[in-house]
Amino acid sequence: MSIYFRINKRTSSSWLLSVFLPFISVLLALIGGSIFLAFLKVSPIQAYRGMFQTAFGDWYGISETIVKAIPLILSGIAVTLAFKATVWNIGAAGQIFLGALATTAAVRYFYVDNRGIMLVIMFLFAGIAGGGWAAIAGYLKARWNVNETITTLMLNYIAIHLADYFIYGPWKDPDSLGFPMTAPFPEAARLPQFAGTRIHYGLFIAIFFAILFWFIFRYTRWGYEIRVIGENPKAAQYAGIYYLRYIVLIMFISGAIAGIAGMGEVSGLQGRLQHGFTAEFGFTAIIVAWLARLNPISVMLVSFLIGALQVGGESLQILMRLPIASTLVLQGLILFFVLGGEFFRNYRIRFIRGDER
Amino acid sequence: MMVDENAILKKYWKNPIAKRSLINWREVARYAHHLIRKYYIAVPHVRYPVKNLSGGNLQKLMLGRELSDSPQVIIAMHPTWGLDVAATKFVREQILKERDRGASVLLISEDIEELIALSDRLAVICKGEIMGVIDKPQEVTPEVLGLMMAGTPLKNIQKVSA
Repeated sequence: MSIYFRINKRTSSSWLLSVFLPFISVLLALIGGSIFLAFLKVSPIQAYRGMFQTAFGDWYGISETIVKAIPLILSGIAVTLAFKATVWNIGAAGQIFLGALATTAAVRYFYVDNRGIMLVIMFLFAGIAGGGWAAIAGYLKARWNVNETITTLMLNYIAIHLADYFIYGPWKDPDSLGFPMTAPFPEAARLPQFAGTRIHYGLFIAIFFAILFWFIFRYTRWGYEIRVIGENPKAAQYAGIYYLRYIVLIMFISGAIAGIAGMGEVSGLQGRLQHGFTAEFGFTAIIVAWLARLNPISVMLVSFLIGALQVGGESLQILMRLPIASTLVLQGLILFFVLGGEFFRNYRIRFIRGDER
Repeated sequence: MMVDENAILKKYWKNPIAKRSLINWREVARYAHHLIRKYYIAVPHVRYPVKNLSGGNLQKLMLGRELSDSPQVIIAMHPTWGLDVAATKFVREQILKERDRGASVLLISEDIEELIALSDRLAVICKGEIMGVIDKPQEVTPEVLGLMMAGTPLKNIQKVSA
């Protein structure tokens, strides 16, 4: 006797399933991660407990988690917007760099000794630079149907090296003892931080954008049009939505939000532009957007959890003496299991005994 | 896309579906329910993914979406392609109903039986050229249509049979 299995499409999705699926997926990812940790000769329970305590154990841990979550929320929303329209913006990383570059340029060349005005100038610079950078890929896609996955990805490298040119070259702080960084921003060019923590006011910008885009997606014509474009470009064209112009616009806004994430990092957190100030959260944003199922409110939640994972991951390095890559492996496992779990949202597997056929 | 989202594809910017830039989802649901009742679309609820609908129900939804605005001209291309018997009958009835209402219908099909049953006038095209226009399709035999489809002009056929 043999056992077969058959894959059937689900006709209705159960409420219970959609609530528990993410938890089961994360649980399985942690189990998978514990096998990996066991290979590294580390007790998984100890490691997970250490991570949890570092990230949530005290106010400092929580505040650091929020610090990590801020850029993730912004770039997560940037990516979500593009992905909703099935425009594959993989270039949040580069747009973040352009935003940070433009912020620094604003501080250097358009400095106003008034925090309110200065922050508005930096905000506009970062948004336009990040948006313009992404719009290049959007225009190429609209005009010549160039694959935007590739152009946005390639523009990342250009942006990162462009930033390095300024950091190592003309903008290098002469007093930095040779370290690749610009001079610290003056006080008026800093986003304020909450007393005693590194949480900066970028948090408000992030929450504002999350709620704004949740509202746009849900209640406006614009959100509806993005959804139609994303699910069926032909239907969009049929409905009279000018698809090509939309792609450029969506790319611009997506890039602008990512650029503002870059401004938050240099102006709120680090207070200067330095080499490799952020490499990975432009890519982590993609994970965030998928895990949040392209819902801006969930993006906030998921960013917080990924932030906790990163803060906790740092404790792995310190407490367990593990390399940073081990955190990335855990992140990857979570993504793998959660996206794999999506399969069960749409399909069910039935096992059939051979003699029943 | 959900059934209600699909239903408003051609009117999502119009009052009362939308007021200025905001979409009134209660109104959308009301409209979708209206289509579902009027065109006998079998769906569990209006927030049901369109991609899970059967071919017949999908076609009925599209038909409802397009016909509800009382168009002057309807171009129907293979309107019953791949549908079951009941859905085919329903779609054909709706097309005739539109004709009776006064709409001009251009029916494009390869289903000879359907063409004979629905058409008031019937033109046969072979290799991009019209082989002839039949004024009373119900009186013509499938053999004649077959000859025309294969490239024989109508006037030649009449000569032979006369």
